Amino acid sequence: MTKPLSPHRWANDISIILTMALGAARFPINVRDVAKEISAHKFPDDPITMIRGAALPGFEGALVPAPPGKIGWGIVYNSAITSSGRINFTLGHEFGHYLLHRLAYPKGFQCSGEDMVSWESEYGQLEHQANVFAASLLMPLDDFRSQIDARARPTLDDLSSCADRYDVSLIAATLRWLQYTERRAVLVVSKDGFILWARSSQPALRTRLYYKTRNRPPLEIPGLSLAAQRSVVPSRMGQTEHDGRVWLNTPCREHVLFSNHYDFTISLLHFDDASARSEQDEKPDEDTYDRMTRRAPGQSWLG
Amino acid sequence: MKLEIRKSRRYVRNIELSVQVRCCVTSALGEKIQKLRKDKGLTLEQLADRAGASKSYIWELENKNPPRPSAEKLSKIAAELGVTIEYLLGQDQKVTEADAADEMFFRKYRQMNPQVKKKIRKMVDLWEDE
Repeated sequence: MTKPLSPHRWANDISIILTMALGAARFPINVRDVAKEISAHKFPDDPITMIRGAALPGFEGALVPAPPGKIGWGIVYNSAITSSGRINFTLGHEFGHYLLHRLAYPKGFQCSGEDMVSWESEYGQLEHQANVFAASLLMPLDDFRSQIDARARPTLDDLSSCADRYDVSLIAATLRWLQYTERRAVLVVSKDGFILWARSSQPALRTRLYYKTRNRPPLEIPGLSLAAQRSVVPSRMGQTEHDGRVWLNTPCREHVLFSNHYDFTISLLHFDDASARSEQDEKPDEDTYDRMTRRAPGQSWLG
Repeated sequence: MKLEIRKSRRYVRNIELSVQVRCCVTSALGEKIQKLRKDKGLTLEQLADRAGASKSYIWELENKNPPRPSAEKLSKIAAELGVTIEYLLGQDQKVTEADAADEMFFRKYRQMNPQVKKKIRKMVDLWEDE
């Protein structure tokens, strides 16, 4: 058997087919149709034959093999999720598992106490790959760049327009934009006054603008931030300039959104470009950089 | 474009083994504490004060699934919320035969509501496309 294609490669190959077939009208990508047609075409013996949603509280989605007497694979998802963008991303994620992992993991995940540690990290990697596939399929960078220039400083409204274009959540669109922007920007997702997780653009990381939240005590959001002052923001969105006392000891512009559906607050922080010199001086050690860029985004893509 | 067609049926089909599931990150414990706290109209700070814990500790329990929460702190929190520590930890649920079969499922699936699991099994058995 040949080496399986990478998540990017699969997403690119499918994007090429969709561009040829549908041109500019391909967005948002209809994962349901694409998954069935592509799988039937590429793997006629083993296609995706069932995609079905139901109200399944606490559940996102699953890739399941057909029961005896049926062929192929199915995707089951929670249709009670209020955001269609989240559902679309979940379908993309499960389609990713189908393309990338169904042959290597015919028996799925068996866990026992002793191999839990390695299993956890392996599982995290599989999830990461499925997310990379879904993000690349739903939000191709060439198209995203044509919507928001790599040098632009988008508002949350701008990113929401992209989220609508691609039928993904605002957070998924923002994470994708953070992957290519040439600006220093940090996304901070908080809840009840503490940071749930944060993600930095590469230029921000290179100048040590980031929050670490994994395996650390909870970090409180700055008291002077908009995120911490729900009462001063008249609607569910707002923005303001901060001096260096608020976020990461650096002046920035904060765009905030208080989520109605979900219990969290989004702060998008735009920092000025660093001088070439400080960027060089403050390059973090490889360890930190690797950890910050390679760690699995996990659930965060769902927003 | 190089998209080779794989004709492989060498792998074994086993529904119990190959389900790949994604589920919520928050632990059952965290969800229970948060729900009980909100039902009682308590802020993080108020529950923390009453249970003699820090605000960040309660937040961590609710949102970050810390590996070994202190039994002493948990029992104080349980008392403030009007439940037992066994309820919070879910130890009052009986292990059924079906749960034992779920050993093979992904660990988070095991934490799922039994009705949800049952519904998923039924959907797979019926295999009806939308």
